Amino acid sequence: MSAAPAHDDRVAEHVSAAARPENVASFGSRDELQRIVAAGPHGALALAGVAVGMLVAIWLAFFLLVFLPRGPVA
Amino acid sequence: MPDVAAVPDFAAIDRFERRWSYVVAGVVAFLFALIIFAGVHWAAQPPSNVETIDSSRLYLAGEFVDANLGTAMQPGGSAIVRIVAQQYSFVPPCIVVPARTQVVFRVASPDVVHGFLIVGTNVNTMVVPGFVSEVRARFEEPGEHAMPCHEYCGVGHEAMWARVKVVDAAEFARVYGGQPRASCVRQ
Repeated sequence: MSAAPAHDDRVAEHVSAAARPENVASFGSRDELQRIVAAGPHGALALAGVAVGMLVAIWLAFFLLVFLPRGPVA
Repeated sequence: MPDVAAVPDFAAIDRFERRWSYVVAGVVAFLFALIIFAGVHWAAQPPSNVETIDSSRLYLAGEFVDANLGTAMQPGGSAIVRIVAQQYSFVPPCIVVPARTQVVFRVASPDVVHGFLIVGTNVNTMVVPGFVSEVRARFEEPGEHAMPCHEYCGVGHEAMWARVKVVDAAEFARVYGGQPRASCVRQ
């Protein structure tokens, strides 16, 4: 095994991939981005709406199609 | 240098979050309303009988002596079924009940916690030593249901199950009416 170098010159020049615009930023202009963000989190709302909608639909399906036909207990 | 991100409209995000919280509150209120409706209008409640019993003397005296186990018709027309859940069987192992009749199951355990569940129905409760579990149910259709223990109770747990036979009320009266404590063990 070779010993690790005492000093690595590349560290100072290193740019993380996470900081590269092509990886993290919109390709559009700043104004375009501003317009998108200003419109509000529609995508998040749609995703959360679909997820909660599916959950409630499955709950209702069990309640109406399984629980109620099986008759009341106490 | 990466492009500087645009400043979001925080007021718009606040509006969205407030509206979403109303939606979630509405969903929770709707589910609660359905549960309350089923509980009040339909008289469906989780079995929550709290009644203590001396588990160490279950077979010796009182309600759960051997001769008292099985189905007994009550003067009001309902049926009462007394069952002992023990490692690793239900006594009696075959329970017969009349259809379209109010049935009260009373179950006790002399040893450990067992589960009481009738497959295909909402009958489902735990049987805890020291307490009598009570479940009220009504079977609309004649048929046969498996009744497994669904609470792990030891090495023989998977072999602990019984069956519930629902028969027409007239047939029940004809075949089992003469027995003070009916069961279908020998059938």
